Amino acid sequence: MLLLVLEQQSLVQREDVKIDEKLFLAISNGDNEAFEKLYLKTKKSLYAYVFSITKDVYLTQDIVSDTYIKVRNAAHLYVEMDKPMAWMFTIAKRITLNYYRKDSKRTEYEKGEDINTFSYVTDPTLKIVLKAALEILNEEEREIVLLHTYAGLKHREIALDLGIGLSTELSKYHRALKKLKTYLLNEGVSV
Amino acid sequence: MKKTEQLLSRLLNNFPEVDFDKIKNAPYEPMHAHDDITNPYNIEKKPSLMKKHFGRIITFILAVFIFIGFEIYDNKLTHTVISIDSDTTVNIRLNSKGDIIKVKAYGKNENTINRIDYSNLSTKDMVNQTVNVLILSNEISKENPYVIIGVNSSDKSFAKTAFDIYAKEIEDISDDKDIDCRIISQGGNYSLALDRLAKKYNTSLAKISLAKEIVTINNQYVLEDIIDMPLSQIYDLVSKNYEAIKELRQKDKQECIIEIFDYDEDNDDNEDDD
Repeated sequence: MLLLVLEQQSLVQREDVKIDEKLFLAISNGDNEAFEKLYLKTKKSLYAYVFSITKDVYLTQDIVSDTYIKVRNAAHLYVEMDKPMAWMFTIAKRITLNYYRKDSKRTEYEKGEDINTFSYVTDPTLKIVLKAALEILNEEEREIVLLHTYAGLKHREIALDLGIGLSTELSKYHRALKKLKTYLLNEGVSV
Repeated sequence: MKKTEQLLSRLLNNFPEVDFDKIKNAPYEPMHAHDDITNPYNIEKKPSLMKKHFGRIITFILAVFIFIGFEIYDNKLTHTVISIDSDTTVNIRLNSKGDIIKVKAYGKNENTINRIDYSNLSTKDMVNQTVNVLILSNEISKENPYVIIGVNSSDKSFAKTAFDIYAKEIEDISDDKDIDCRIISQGGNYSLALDRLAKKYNTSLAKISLAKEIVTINNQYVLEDIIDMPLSQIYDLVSKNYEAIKELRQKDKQECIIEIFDYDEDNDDNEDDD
C-alpha cells in the first residue's frame, strides 16, 4: 500500500515539473508569488542536481540558495528558450565551480561530505543507499538517477536539461540502477 | 528496480530543506546584464588549454627569448676567442676592444676558473691565472705536460700573432715550475659556425678546429673520437699530420697557422721551418 502511494506521488510530481517561462517575467516585476511558485516547482530538481555534484548537504543548501537569488536577480534577462531548468542548472553548476575555485584549500571535491556525518539519515537501509549513491555512482549517473527518482523529472526532460541524448540518458539511468541494485543486494538490502 | 528508485526518493526526503524565507528576504539586485554565471549561452565552456597554461606558456616564451637574446648578444660581441685546453677546456671571449667579456670553462677545474673575477684582468693575466690553476691542480704536470692554445679572431692579423704570445706565456709559467710543456698553438678565423660547433660539444674553438682537420685527414676518426681523446694522443696525431694540417689550412684559405712546441721526433724540422 505504501509503495503504491509513493509511486502515485512520484507520478504526480512528474506531471507538475513543467515550468511556465512567464514566471521569470513575473519575478522580474517583483512578483513574490511567482518566485515562490518557481521555487516550489524546481526545488527538488535543483537540490538533487547540486547534491549530485557536491555530495554535501550543507554546501548544497548554500548553493541552491545562491542559485535562486541569482535567478531572481537575472530573471528580467531570461530569454525564452524552452529550457528554463537547464538555465538554472547551469547557474547552479557555475556557482558550485566558483565556490571550489575560491575555496582552493578544499581538496576533497570528489569526496564530499563524510558518510558518517549524514546524521539526519537514521534508517540503516537508507544509510546504505546513500553510501551507494555517493560511492558507486559517478556524478552524471547520480544526477540522472536523483533527478528522476527524487525530483520526478521525466527522462526526456532530464536529457534536455543536461544536454544529452534521450537514449544516452536512458542507458545511463538503467546502468546506474543496475549498479545500485547489485550493491544493495550485496549489502543485504532487499530490492 | 522500483524498490531501488523508491529508496532513493525516500533518502533525499530525509535531507534538511533549503530555507526559502532566507532566499525570499535576500536583497533584490537586478543585474544590468548577464555575467559569467547567468549567461545562458556559452554553457559549459571549459577553459582553453591556452588559458589554463597561460603563465607557463608566457614563462617558456620569455625564457626562449632571453636565451636567444643572450646567444645573439654573446655572438655579436665576440670578436676573439682565446682557448686553452688541458683536461679542462677554457674559452676566453674578447670584444673588439680586447676586453674580456666572458670566460667559460668545461671539465675538471671549471668551477675554479669560472669563478675568476676577470673584470679588471688583461687577457695575458687571465691566461696566466688559468694556467696557474691548471698547474696547481696538477692538470698540467711533468707527467701530463700537454696544452692546446688557440686564438680565433675576426681580426686575422691579430690571430696570426697573438697565439704565439700566449703560447710563450704558457711556456714561461710552466718553465718556472720545471714543466717541459708540449704545446699546440694555433691562430685562426673566428666564425659563428665554428663557435656553435664548439658549444655543441662543450669544447674549445681550438680543439674543434683541430678535430675537424684530423677527421678530414684521417677518415678512421669521427669528431667525437678526437674531442674525447687525451691531449697526449691529440698532440701525437697533430705532430704526425702537421704538414697535412698546414696544407689543408692553406687549401681552405683559412689563413690559419699552427705550431707545435717541443715535439721530440721532428722538432728540429719544425724549427728549421720557423
